[in-house]
Amino acid sequence: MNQIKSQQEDAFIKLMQEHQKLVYKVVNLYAGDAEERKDLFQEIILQAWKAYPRFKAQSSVGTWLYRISLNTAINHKRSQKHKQVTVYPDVLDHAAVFYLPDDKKEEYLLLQKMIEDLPRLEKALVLLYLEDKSYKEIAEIMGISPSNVGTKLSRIKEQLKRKAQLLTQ
Amino acid sequence: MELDNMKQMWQKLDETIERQNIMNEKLIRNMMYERTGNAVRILSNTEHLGFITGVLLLIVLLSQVNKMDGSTGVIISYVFTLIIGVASTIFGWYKIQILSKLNIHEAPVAQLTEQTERFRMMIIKERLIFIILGPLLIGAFYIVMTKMVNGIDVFDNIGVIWPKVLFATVLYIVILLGVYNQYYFRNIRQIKKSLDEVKAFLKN
Repeated sequence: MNQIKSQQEDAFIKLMQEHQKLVYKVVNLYAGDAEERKDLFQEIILQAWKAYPRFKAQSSVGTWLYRISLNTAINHKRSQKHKQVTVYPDVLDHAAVFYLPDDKKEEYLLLQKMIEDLPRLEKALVLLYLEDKSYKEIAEIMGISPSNVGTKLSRIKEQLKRKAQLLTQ
Repeated sequence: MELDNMKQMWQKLDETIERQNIMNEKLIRNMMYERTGNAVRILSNTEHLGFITGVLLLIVLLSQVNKMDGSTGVIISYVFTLIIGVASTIFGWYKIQILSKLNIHEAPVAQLTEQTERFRMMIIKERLIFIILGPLLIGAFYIVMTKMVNGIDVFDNIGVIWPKVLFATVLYIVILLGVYNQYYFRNIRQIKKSLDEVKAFLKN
């Protein structure tokens, strides 16, 4: 039994390492500060681990993990008293955006901020779009129709464009 | 910059994240077994605790039924406490069943959000009812416990008890008015807003 559990743990760790980008991006979009990022990161890993024994590949790993990550992020309640035992790497405190060229950084950060200000479900939709998911995949994860995905994304794009124009005037 | 331009840069960030290798094996192993503030789990733990407390209280109340002889007031208080206890316990079981169906791992995102918000609204309204019934509940419970523990029928000394009950009720109402808007209505407004957002999202 211990051997099976150990094999499962190893397989899970490998899976999380392969998909760490996904979790990292969800966390950065939904968590407000460094403490919350660490909290949310941990909660996503925990939820994924709990679900892992039941994962039967009915959907792709990516879809499965997006669903867990987004569900966890949207329903996450920041723990006030939680004492963190695990030492987290500093890299969680630094947005990967700082590796972009300078001329693009400001625009990117502005757009990122506007996306962060979107309602949480719209935020999830945009994240999946940025991750180059098809409308069908987005619909499966979010629980809406593919046509609804298209409509909503068009609306969000217009909204962000207008807002960006107003802010840069 | 528009969203479509951002998409290209977003994809390029993947390489940066991979190079940083945020999730080493030790970190993931530690995270797998630590606990943090998940809203659904907190709700579930609270409801399980409430249910167990309710059951224990009912057992105590039912075991003391023979002591509830006396004035009509005592009997009514006992029956009232029992009814609230049973209703509360059954409702607690119902809530646990709903929570067990909130499948964070398999439910589509929008549906889970809607279910969670509806549940939170149910909890808040339940608490509101308990607050409104508060003075009656406290009074009835006090009467029952006094009879159960001390064998005293408070209605035999009603002249002594009433000023205390009146004072406690006035104090309760003052505190209640202070707490109401601060906590419960603000929460209801917030949850209602969340629910409206989800409904708007689910509409075509």
